[in-house]
Amino acid sequence: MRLPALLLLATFAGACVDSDEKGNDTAAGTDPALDADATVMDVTAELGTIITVVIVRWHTDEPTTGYVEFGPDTTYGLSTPTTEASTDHEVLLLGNPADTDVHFRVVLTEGEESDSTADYSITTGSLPTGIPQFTASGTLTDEWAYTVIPTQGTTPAVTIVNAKGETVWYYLPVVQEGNLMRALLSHDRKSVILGHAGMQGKLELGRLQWISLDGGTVTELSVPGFDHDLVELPDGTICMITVERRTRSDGTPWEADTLLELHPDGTTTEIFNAWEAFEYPESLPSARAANWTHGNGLDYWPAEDAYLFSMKELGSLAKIPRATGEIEWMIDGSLNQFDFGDDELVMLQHQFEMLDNGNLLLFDNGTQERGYSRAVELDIDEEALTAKQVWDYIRDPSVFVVAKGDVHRFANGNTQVVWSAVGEIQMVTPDGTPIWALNAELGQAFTFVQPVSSFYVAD
Amino acid sequence: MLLISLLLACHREQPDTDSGEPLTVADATLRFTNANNYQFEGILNAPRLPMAELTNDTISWSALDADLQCHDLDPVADIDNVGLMVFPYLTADEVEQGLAVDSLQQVDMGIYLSKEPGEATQVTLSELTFFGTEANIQDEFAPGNGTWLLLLSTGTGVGVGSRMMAFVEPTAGAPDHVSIEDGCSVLDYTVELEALTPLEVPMEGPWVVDWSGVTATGHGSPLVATRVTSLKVARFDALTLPEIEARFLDLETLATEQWSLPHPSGTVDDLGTLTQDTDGSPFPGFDAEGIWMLALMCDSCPVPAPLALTVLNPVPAR
Repeated sequence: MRLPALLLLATFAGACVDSDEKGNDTAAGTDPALDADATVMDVTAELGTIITVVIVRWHTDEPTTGYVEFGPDTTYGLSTPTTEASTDHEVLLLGNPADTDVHFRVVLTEGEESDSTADYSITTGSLPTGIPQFTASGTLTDEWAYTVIPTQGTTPAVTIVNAKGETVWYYLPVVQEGNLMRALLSHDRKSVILGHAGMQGKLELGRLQWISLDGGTVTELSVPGFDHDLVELPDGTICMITVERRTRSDGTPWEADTLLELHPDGTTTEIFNAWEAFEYPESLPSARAANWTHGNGLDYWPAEDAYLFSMKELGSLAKIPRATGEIEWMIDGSLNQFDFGDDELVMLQHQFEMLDNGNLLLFDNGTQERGYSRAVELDIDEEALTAKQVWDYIRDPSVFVVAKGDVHRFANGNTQVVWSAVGEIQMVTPDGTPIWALNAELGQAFTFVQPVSSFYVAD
Repeated sequence: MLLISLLLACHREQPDTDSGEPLTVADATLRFTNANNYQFEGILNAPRLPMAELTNDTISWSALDADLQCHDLDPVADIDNVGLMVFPYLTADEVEQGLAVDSLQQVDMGIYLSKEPGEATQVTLSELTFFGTEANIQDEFAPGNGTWLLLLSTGTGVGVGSRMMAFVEPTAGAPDHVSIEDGCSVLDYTVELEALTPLEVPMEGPWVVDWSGVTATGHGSPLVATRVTSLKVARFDALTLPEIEARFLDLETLATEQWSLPHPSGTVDDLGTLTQDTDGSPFPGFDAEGIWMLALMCDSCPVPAPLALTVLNPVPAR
């Protein structure tokens, strides 16, 4: 491989680069090692529509593969995936804060060999007006690097923040008569998926959006009835909570939830339908005129190829295998089937996840009467239908989260607890010590969040 | 406190510049720093209204005809949102102080509930929801459950555009219906314009202003650039600075002319893109008449005063 007296035509697009005003030399590199066959030409870098994203393009005179190393200085530290064999290459440098110098170099690869260009730098832009600001306190060590955070309140927004609380990606959606409920970095790492729900009673306004990571492309799909949550499977299938409206004998409408899969080819499959699953409404404690199940959280359990689906009006969480679409068991709330022994019953969960050890981690909102919310881990026996509390965490001072709430467990045993409505995310150790927190300014609440370890490889 | 009504009129548009490129800092750039910034101290004295505990109380504002800036208010047309903030661990005095200096975080507020009243001029506690999710907050309206602040606002942003506020206090034996009336005594303030260093501006331009040197707002909190939604320039004829200080809440009516520009990002703006607020005409430039002011505005902040404001000193081209 040869990178000859390189035609480093660093035609940095100036439209979004303020390197000149800061006196940086954007083409500061010198010629790289020259022992390969390919010639790298026309290395360019520009900022995306999202000004923390750097788009790097380069051309080689013969097909090559390559990637870009980048970071805040010439030690780099981050790298993009390797491109396909081609003469024209484009990669996105992701995870950069605003107003920050980004150093990078192109690395050409051929088998075990590689050669790199000189160093280049570009400065990211300033965050646009309206992006919510967060305050981080404490230090994270080996937890995941980024958190995807949808906010509702003064400024509905999606931000991806790093452990310092710095915004490294953002999008300001237009929210009309509803709420931004969920944002997920897609498995293929090409977009951020947004789930917008209409207000209760106007759920026909539901829609999904796919925002390309450079911000340049927004794709939208109307999903009448979408509500609260969605989850993406590794193959790109999206499962959503949707509501189905029916008419009562007196002519008034009422609603219950379904789980609807949207496949990558655009087809849909209804996996679950609460109208079919329950004898309504006589057997249920609530017969609200609106949504009598009110799905409020959804997760996917890969090991069982099953969904976990929480329904607020029932207070219960159901395991629903994809293959059958039938409820296998329900825990918590009015339709609880598990014996909790002397342990405190989970009062009303929002988000949850199955842990690798088979335990169930939940955000237990509790009730206003109880007065506090908590994270709780249950050791559940699916055969015996028993549940035993093995861990919980209550904030000090305690808070009651009236809506939403989320939990995530990391490999080191630490737990991310999202006190959604009160605008705080905490990282707590197994012994319940908070070691990090992210706080929103007054007027901004969180919904559900997604921790991600990489912008390039799905977790 | 330049123009709460104008704050609400701000748009979030991208700058309509020819190039669409960010402005750069050059030698001729005007540098707005902390030394040029004004000081504003707001003092809130919201009424404390006893209300029946554990009851689906009714709160009415049909008799409210003046807002907390003592400006005329139409209780139907001007109130778009009723918000109820519950602060579990703060006293009413602490809430007032935090709001005045914009130091509160979301975590200070345990619950935020709201309702858009439409044509109505009253609301019951049970009608207040968390973004559409029912809360039945009346079941928690009891002594010992925190400090309850009711906000009546123009616009629907959380804590934004507040026209009136009152603490409702759960009290045994109190009436189950309260009326919020005169707002004139709620907000007091002091403002300091004479101590600042005026910012020199060339009468003929250019007027690229770099305000990265303003690190604190006029009310003392850190200035966050992404909260600046627009810049505003106003000229006041036949008024002195002490007269403007004394009537600071009436700036929108005192200004002879005003021009605005949207602020998309960063800390550098070109005042040459200002347009007249009333007819959209281009900014004609500065002259030696009257008093000129430049303000950094925020249309999503709880404190209605400008984040930063300075007096401009137009000088002939050198």
